[in-house]
Amino acid sequence: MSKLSLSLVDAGHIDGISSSRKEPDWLSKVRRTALGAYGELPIETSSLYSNYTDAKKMDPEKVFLDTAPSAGAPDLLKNRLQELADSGSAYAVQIGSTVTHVHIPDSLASAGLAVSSMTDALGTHPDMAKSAIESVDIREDRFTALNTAAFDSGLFVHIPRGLEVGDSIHLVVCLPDGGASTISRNIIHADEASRASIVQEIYAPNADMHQAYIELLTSDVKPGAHLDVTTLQMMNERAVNFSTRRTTMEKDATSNWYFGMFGSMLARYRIDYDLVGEGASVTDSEVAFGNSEQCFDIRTCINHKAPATEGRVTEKSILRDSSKSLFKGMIKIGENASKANAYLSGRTILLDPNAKSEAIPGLEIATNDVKATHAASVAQIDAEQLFYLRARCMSPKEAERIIVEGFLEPLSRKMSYQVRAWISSLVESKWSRRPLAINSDEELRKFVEVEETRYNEDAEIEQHYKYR
Amino acid sequence: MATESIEVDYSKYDFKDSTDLYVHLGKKGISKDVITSISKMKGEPSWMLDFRHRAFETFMKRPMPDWGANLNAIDFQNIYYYAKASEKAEKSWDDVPDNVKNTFNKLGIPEAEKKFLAGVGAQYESEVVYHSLREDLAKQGVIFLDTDTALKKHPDIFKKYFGKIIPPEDNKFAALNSAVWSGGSFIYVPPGVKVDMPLQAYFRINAENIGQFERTLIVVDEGAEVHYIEGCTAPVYSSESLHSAVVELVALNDAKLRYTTIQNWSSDVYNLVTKRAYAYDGATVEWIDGNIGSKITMKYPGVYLMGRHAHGETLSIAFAGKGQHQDTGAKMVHLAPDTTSKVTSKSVSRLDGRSTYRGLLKVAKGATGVKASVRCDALLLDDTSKTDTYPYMEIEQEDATITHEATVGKIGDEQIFYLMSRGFSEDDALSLIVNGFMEPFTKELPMEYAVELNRLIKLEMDGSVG
Repeated sequence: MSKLSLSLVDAGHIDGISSSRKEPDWLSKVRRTALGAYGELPIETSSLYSNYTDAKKMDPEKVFLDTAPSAGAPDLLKNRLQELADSGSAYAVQIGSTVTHVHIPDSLASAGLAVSSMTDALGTHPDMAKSAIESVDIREDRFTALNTAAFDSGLFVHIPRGLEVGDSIHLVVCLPDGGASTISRNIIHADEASRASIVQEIYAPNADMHQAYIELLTSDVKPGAHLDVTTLQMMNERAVNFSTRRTTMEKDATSNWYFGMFGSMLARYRIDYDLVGEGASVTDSEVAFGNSEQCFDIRTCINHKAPATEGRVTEKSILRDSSKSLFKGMIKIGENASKANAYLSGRTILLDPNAKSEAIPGLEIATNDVKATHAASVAQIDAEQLFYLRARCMSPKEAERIIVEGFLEPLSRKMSYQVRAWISSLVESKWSRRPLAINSDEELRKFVEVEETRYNEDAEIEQHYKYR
Repeated sequence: MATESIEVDYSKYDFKDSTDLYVHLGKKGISKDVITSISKMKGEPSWMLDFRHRAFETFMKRPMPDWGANLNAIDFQNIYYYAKASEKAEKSWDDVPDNVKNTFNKLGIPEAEKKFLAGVGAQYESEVVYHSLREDLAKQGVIFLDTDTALKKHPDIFKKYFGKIIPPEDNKFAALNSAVWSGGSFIYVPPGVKVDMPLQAYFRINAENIGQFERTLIVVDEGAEVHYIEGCTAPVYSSESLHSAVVELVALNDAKLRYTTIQNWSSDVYNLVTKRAYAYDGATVEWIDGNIGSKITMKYPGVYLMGRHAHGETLSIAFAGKGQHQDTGAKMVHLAPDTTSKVTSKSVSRLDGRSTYRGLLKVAKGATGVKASVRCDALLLDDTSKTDTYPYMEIEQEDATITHEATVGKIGDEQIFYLMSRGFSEDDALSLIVNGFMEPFTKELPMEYAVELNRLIKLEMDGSVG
């Protein structure tokens, strides 16, 4: 198969993917139906947000798909791959549309942990893969439809019943040299009473077109399971990142999601949590740090569909230069979701005159015995805080940096100290405009030391709600 | 928990007059001819007829809004666009035809005028039937007229501002109003004049399937002040009436303007209103907005802060009862430096009613030093009522300080318990809490209105704790 512009994706292209991978018939059919929906749907399906989308900034003419096996890992990934190989934890590496490495420690493999490419999963876990692919409503979003129609790669993780995975599972995705884009269908399936933590790292090398990583990730968190997912998006600032995520949480399932959106010229995230089981609880923390012309279009929705469910969304942006963030948060509490507890906040600090922020923190509430509260703010750095630090002999730049770090730091507290150290180091790199990476060098060790000694708390959320 | 209900006492407003004595009741439906005949009947200048025709074209072209409340039941061809119950706007209540006068007597308007108003306008169906203004104010140059008369008597001020703040192209219902408008209030307050008592207009729909499209224009000149109050009611019919007003306010440098609305349309009225103000240097515009009645209300009063140090404020309450959808909010558009705004919205939903806050807060590039806050609180009185919040914030200037907060809750059992342990009955406790919740609103009303509002929302409690 040759290179093809995204604007020319057609039935021939998707049939080609299907047949080259010897996919089952049902999947070819699903792809065909989804392609039809992709052609019909507008770029934003909700009338609430029709004037508020940056998805159109991705030019389909400039996005090239290439399903041929990739040449190899770009240089920027070399050190990281070596580290992963030395670490002994479970991981998978996808370069472009090819899954190049998969490693599962023997003890976990024998316990049934599966980490594989989507293509393999269709053979090894056919029922799980099928029900995940079919669970998606292709008409809810244009890019959900695109993904279902034309995915050419993806990763699959299954954590079997009762298994507790100690170390983080790493899913590393890197776009290849040469500018080809990738459409991935990712699935995480956390079975009953399992416990795991996943770190997703997304990279892209320097390229001069809209090189895109377009992802659809569905996660099932079964009764009593606990799943932590950290996404660290460190793509080159010319690249494009579209991510659509839907997480289904069953009875008493708990989950923490952290999004570190640091890279790419355009990151469009559409995140949904369906709390379908009583007592399900999710905490979602999002950080967007924009330099130069970066643009973050984030839509996060928590759907409370069962009683006593709990959802927390905290979004924070730091915007410099001409960067922009657009935060569309929504809490939906259904008629039978009494005793639901929901919190949504979006906070932005604008650091430069050309930075721009839009926020739409929405609520739709259909029953009364609930707690729902949301807040949003846009401001510059607090002059008093700045003054305080300067009175202690810090330069204005140093003081700003410390305030920004203090603003972002609380969001990662639910994560392990290792992950927190990576995040701190990325914030630091972002601040000093260095290339983004999370190599475990001397620099990182300092952050690890700091993070090891920090305590855990969710003070901000606890203090916010009071009945008025 | 307690089963509770709050009843709006509507009986006072639910009486109907015969339409037999009307001077004019056109045919149902809208067309270019209907518009031309309205304009002819009023003897308008040709620019106004052109304006109406331009608006009609926009109205026909624009799709129905696909966001917000469900408007599918509106049948534009089943509405009377113009109905006239008396010949002209009278200056004395004695001259108003009896059937119309009785209506306003029942609503207590002439009584209120004597006590605490500086001027009154009363609109019945499409036309204003009564208008008066305190003599000393008239001598100082204050103009308070119905909008049709103002077009004839003060064409210069009129043409300068009319349709400039809300052009017909703004939205479908502003276009509809611009095409068929009739009646409404026109106020001009000359520089430095402070009107010490409120001016009031009262809008009444009487017949079935009437559309009321009043058009209000208020211009407050430099350093002047005025407080304008409007009240709205209609009797209950089984089929829908449409109220679609356009209200344009201009507050020139250092002017102060407060606009209070208590909307208590009956439960079959679609209330789709466009209201917007321009506030220039140092001016203050306040919208005090109470939405009690109507089947569906869509109303988002806006303030465009055009000049340095201008201040905009919206304080609103909404009551959504059985079958009601109150889709309201506020728009604050900061276009100049050092402007400030504050939005406070309170809503109470009960008996499967739905209240929606939909607001826009925009800080344009170059509007430095802006401070703005939005606060929405919703109270749900039972488990079938609904509430939504959609606050839009667009910030293009880095040194803006913007906050938004919202809470949704029910009345806490512990609050009821606390009051009951101090000797209140459960009914009294509930009504005390709801009144406390609304207090920031009621305390901004003239005392007589606050009393009236509290009476309107008579609390009825027959539930038991369980």
